Amino acid sequence: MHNLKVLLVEDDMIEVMKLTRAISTLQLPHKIIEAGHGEAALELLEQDKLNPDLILLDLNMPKMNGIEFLKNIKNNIDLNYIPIIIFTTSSNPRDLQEVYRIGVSGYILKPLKYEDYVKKIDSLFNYWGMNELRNFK
Amino acid sequence: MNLKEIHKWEKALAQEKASRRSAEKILEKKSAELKEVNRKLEASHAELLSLYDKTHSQLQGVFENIVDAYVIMDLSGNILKMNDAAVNLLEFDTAYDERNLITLVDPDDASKIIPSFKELIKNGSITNFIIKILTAKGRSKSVHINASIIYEDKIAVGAQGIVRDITSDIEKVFVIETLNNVAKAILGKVDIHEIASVITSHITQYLNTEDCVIYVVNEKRQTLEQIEAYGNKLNEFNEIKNKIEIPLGQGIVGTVAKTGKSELIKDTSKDDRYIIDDDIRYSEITVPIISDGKVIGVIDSEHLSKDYFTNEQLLMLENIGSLIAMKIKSAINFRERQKVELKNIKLLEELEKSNEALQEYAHVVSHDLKSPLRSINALISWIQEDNKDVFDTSSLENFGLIEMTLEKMEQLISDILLYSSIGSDDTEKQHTDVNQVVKDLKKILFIPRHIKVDILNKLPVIVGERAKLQQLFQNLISNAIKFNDKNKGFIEIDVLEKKSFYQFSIKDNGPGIEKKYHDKIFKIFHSLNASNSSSGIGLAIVKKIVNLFNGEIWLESELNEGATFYFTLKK
Repeated sequence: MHNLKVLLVEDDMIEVMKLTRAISTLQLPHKIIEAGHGEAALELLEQDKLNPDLILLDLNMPKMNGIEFLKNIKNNIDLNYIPIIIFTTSSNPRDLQEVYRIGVSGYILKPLKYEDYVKKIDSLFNYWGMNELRNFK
Repeated sequence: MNLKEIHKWEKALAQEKASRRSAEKILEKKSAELKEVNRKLEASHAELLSLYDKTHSQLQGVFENIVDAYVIMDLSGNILKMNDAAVNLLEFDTAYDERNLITLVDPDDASKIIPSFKELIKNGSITNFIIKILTAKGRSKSVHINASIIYEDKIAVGAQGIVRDITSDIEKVFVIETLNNVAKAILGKVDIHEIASVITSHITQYLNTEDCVIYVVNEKRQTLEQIEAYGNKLNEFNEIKNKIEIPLGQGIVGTVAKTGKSELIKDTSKDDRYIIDDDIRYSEITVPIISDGKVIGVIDSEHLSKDYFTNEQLLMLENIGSLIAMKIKSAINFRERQKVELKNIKLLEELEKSNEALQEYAHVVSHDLKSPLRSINALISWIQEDNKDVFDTSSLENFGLIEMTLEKMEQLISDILLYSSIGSDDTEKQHTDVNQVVKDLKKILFIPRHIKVDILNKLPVIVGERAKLQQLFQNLISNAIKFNDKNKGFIEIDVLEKKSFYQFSIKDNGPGIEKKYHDKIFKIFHSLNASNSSSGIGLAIVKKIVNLFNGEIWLESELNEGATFYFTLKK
C-alpha cells in the first residue's frame, strides 16, 4: 500500500477530528493536510506546491464552496490531474450530477454513525492506497 | 289768239283734268288699300307682341318656379342669373351674387372642371355630370348637373344648367358602404386594438374629420380607457400618445358612458364637461357602444369647426355602435382571457423558480441539520471508546438511547427533505410496471415471518416516475408491517380497473384506525404512535404522491379490525 498525501478540504472541526481519529484507529500510514475552506486549499496547492495524491472535498463550506473550488482546480492545467473525491452529507441529486460533470473521482456520503464512518474511510483508503498515483510533473 | 286755238287749249286742259282726277282716284284707292294693310299689320303686330309677352312670362315662371336649381353662366363660369333654388343650394345670400361657379368646386374634384367644359362646348350640352362643391358657406355637397349652351346669332355666349343636390343620395350610399365595410373589416378579427383601429379609420373617413377615439369601459376601475385613436393622437408606432383615462360620468365621453345616450355637441367651448385631450376641437359627436343593455364602450369623434356634425351622422354612428357591440364585447373578453393567461404563465414561472429555490433550500437545511447529528454521534462514540472500562451498564444504555434519538432525528430530516422534494422535478413520461415495483419492494423491505404480504391481482403498468410509485407503495406497506399487532398478520394488495383510473387497495389486519383520525393521518407530523421509527411524514408523502397523479386516497377502518387504504391513480 502506498503512503498517500491527502488534502482534506473541510470547514467542520469535528469532521477533521473524525478523519484523523479514524486514520489513527485504523493505523493507516497516510498523511492528512487540512484546509478550512476552498481558498485556503488553493493557496496550499498553488503557492506551497503541496502536490497531494488525493483531495477529499466537502461541498457546503463558507467563502469558496466545494463546487467553486472543484471548478477552479479542473480549470488549472497544473492541478487538474489530482483525483478529487466529494465527501459530504448532501445527497442533492443536482450537486451529484454537477460534480460528476465537472469531473470527480468519487462521491461519498458521510454516514450518521461513527462506526459506519470508520468502515467507509477504511474502504476508501484501501482502494486509493492500491491505485498507482504519481505526479505527472 | 283765235278761237280755234282757244278751243284747242280748252280741250287739252279738260283732258288733263280728267286724267288727274283718275290718278287721284287711283291714289285714293291705293291709299285706302295701304291703310287697310297697315291696320291689319298693326293688329298682327299687337297679336305678336302679346304672344311674345305670354311666352316670356311663361318662361320666367318656369325659371322662377322650377324646383331644381337653375343657373345661367357665361362661358367663363361667371353667374349671370340663377333662381331661388340655386341660391339655396349654393348657400348664397342673394340671387345677385356674381361669383364664378368654378370657385365653388371642391378642390378634390378640381380635375373634373376642364374636361366638363370641353364636352359642353363641343357637344353643346352635358348631362349627368356629378361634382363635389363647397357652398358659399363652406359646406360640402355633391351635385348633379345637366347643362346646354346658349347661342346668339349662332354664336355661343353662355350656358344654362339645372343643378340637383344629390348629397343625401350619395351619403345614403356612403352610409351603407361604410356600414358594409366596417362589418367586413371586423369580420374574423379578435384583437380589440385591431378591431378598434379599423373602426376609427372608417369613421374618420365617413365623417371627414381628423379625430376619432374608441373607448372601452373598465368595470373594475369604473373608467373609460382609450383603446384606439385616429389622427394626431397616434405616435410613430401607431400607438396612442398620452393615453387618458376618464372616470365614468366625467366629461362628455364619461357622461355618454354613464347614461348610454348619444350626444352631439355643436360648440364644445360652451359645454363645461368638455375635456381637452390633445387639442381643442369645437364639434363633438359621441355615441355609446351597448351590449346586453350595458355600455361597454364609447365612440367619440371631434372636428375643429363649430356646428360640424349632423343628426344623420349621429344616427349613423349609433348604427355603427350597435353593429360592432357584439364584436367589441367578445374582443374585451378575449383580451381579459389573454391577460389572465399571461398572468398565469408568469405565476407558473415564478412558482417554478420559488419551488426550485425551496428545493435548494431544503437540501441546504437538511445538510446543516444533519451535520451536527454526525458530530454528536462521533463525539459520543469517542467518549464510549475512551471510557469503555469506566461506564456502567446504565450509562451505556443511555448512550444507546442518545444514538437512537440521533437516528430518529436523522430520519425525520430525511423524510422532510423527501416530502418537500416530491413534485418538484418534472415527471417524465415513464411507464412503470407497478407489479414489478411491489415485487421488488417485498424483497427490499424487512418482512417478519408472521406477516404475509400478497398481491391478489396482477398490478398494472402506469405512466409515472418509478421512484415516486415505489415510495408510495413502500410507505403504505411498511406502515402495515410496522404497526401489525396480530400473531398472524396479513397484507393484501389489490387493484380494480375503472374507466379512467385504477383503484388500488392495501388491506391489513393490524390495529385499525379510529374514524376521527381518518383525515388527520394524511397531514404532515400527524403520527398516531410515538414510535421511534415514525416521523409522521410517511402518509403525508403518500398523499402528496397520489395527488400528483391526480388521484384520491381514503381508508376504511374500525379500531382493532384492521384497515384498508384505497387510492386511485390515473391511467
